[in-house]
Amino acid sequence: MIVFFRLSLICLVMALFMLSQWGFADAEQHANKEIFINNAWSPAAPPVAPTRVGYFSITNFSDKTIAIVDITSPLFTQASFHETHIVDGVVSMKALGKLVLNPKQELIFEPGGMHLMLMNAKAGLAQAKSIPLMLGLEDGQKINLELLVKAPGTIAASKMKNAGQSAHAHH
Amino acid sequence: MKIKSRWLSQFLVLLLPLFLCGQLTYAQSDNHKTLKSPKPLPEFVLNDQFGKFFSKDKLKGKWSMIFIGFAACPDACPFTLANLEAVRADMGFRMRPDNIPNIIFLSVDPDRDTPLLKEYLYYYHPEYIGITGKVSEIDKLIKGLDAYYKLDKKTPTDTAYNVVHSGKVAVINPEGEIVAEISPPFKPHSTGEYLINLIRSFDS
Repeated sequence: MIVFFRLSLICLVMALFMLSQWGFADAEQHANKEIFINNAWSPAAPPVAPTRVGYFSITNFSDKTIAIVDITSPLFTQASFHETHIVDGVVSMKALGKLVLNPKQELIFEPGGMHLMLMNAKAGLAQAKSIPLMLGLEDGQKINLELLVKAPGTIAASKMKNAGQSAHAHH
Repeated sequence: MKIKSRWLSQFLVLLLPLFLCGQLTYAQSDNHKTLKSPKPLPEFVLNDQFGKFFSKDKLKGKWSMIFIGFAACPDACPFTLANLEAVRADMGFRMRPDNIPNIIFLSVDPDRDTPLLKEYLYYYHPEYIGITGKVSEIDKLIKGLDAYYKLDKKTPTDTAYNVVHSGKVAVINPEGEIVAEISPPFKPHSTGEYLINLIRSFDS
């Protein structure tokens, strides 16, 4: 009897845990049948910071090439795809223009690499727990998504893209 | 003959991990460069985020890490700040707090950053030091750091410009001399380990 009670308790705890995980809305977003967006987030920044940044991974599950030609957010006057480069130890950014996803291709936007550049915040950003975005595809389709705002401390101190280039540049 | 080739292949299989390990440690040390001899910084007069004068003297008596950036930088600068803080946290397990380097954010974009530097840095950490000021003084320090920056203005009235800048972080000893440079990627543990060894080698 006690064993049974314990087992059911463990089951209950596990179920609660799984439910709590399920509750995190940032995990996955089905954008449409072909495009899948995962882990869309934005590090919180000081209210005085003139820009914000967004990261996600985006996968094209279809058999055709898909181009994202437009990106807008109601909380910013300007949004664009950017990429950070480090060449000869110098950090620079380049606008990517449209984003082309080949069939079955996944692109990962992450700190130090490709990112969504958000400029000129409008009122309401400071309180926002998420940043709404709209991606416009070349064929006219629209994709809505939300970047979950996370504390700046959560910027994973992980791989910085292009690091290899800077390392090679010293030799 | 067959036996010989098997020996040879086994020998090569054994060598391969050794070779890979060598490559790994080499790549890691690539991010940390200790100067052959400490290089004194030139004299400069800038302002900290509270508007107080900040000269080379303020660097004396404490280890610091100077990194170059600008507040409108969306990706690389907040990421560097977060990584340097992770380095300091890692060092905190093994080192006295007063030996852990200060983080100094050198803004090379004084026009846009002077009014907001205080609030900007306080948001990330109450102890961060932000310095900026006259372009000529910034340039003196940049030259002393053997670094580079450029305001990428598309037109003279452009206010949404990007700033291109060196990504390396200068490690300054309590004499105000550059003793090392660390470059991205900033790996908290290995960079922390490197800095602890560096600081201890100067203390002894």
